[in-house]
Amino acid sequence: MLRSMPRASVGRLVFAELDRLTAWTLIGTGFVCIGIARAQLAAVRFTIDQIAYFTSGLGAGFFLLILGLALLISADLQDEKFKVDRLRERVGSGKGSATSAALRLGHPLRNPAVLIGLTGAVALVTLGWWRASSGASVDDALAGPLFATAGLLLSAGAVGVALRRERRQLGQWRRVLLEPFEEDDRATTAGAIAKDHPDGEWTLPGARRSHRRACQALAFPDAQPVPLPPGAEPLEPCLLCHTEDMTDE
Amino acid sequence: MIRGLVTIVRAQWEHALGCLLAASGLVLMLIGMRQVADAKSLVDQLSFLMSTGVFGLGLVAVGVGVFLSGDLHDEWRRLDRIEAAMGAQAVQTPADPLIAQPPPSECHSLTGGQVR
Repeated sequence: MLRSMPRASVGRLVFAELDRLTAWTLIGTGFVCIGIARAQLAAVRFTIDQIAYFTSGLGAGFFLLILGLALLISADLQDEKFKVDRLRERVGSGKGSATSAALRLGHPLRNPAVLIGLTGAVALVTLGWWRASSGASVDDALAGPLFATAGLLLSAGAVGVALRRERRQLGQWRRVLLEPFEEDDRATTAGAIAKDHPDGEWTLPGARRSHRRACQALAFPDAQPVPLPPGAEPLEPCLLCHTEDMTDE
Repeated sequence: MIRGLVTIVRAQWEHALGCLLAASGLVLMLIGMRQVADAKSLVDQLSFLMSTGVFGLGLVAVGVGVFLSGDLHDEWRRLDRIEAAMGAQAVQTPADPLIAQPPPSECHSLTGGQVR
């Protein structure tokens, strides 16, 4: 697919998806770090050396994984933020200063609290590695993984709180934006279903699921589908032909 | 049956991938737990812990991340459909400003009844 695209388009795609690209690179690098640490750990026969490799693999690998996952989710949140902002503009509720309210939030990972948390996490992981590699005894060295784990928890907490706050804020805006549609949706669900599926819902005799007419489940040679009469007790929607409905619930 | 499964996996590939990764990670961790319990020395235990425990935990973390990402993509697609519905309505009635409230039922039908 990339080969058929003009070079400028590939460049634009890479630029547009830089966050996701970086995220997957970090995740991949994290797994590579764990793999390297595993290989080095298997090559030494002294527990104290193993603890040092274990700490560095755990610390570096998981720190990169956490960063990558945070970037991946923040990229999705950014996309949604732009979309909400565009919708606000279209609906007209976002004119003037409110238009860019979503954009004013900035990147969720670029807030000072997250940066302080991540810096603290790096410090703890480094301290853990240093304790593990310079410990005089196994008991001393075992403090290393503990420090590293504390650092990882701190980094996960810092990015987790930031992303959660961002998502909650976006959810509130989305609710405000979609309120008129939701009210109408409650009132006209039955009518809308009939409008969307003019051929109505179908079922098989004795079955407990309802299908659209074109559903694969009704296409068996011996199947004898019957239309559901209007006003009949609703059946469970089929997983095949109502998949899209379910993904959006 | 298999065809249905393929359809579901295609429609929800991020959720499916997330579940698969998380499940693989959990299986790996269980295997690691068994191996660590059977190992006689700390040297062997650390090796097993690194290769299965840490790796498995990583897979679980990535699986959860991909699953969450799939949720966010679903939400984005839903908003995109609403935007497309508004755009379609603007084309149908160019004289009406968009600020005038579009009949939500029409948007509803254009988005496949998904505004929920």
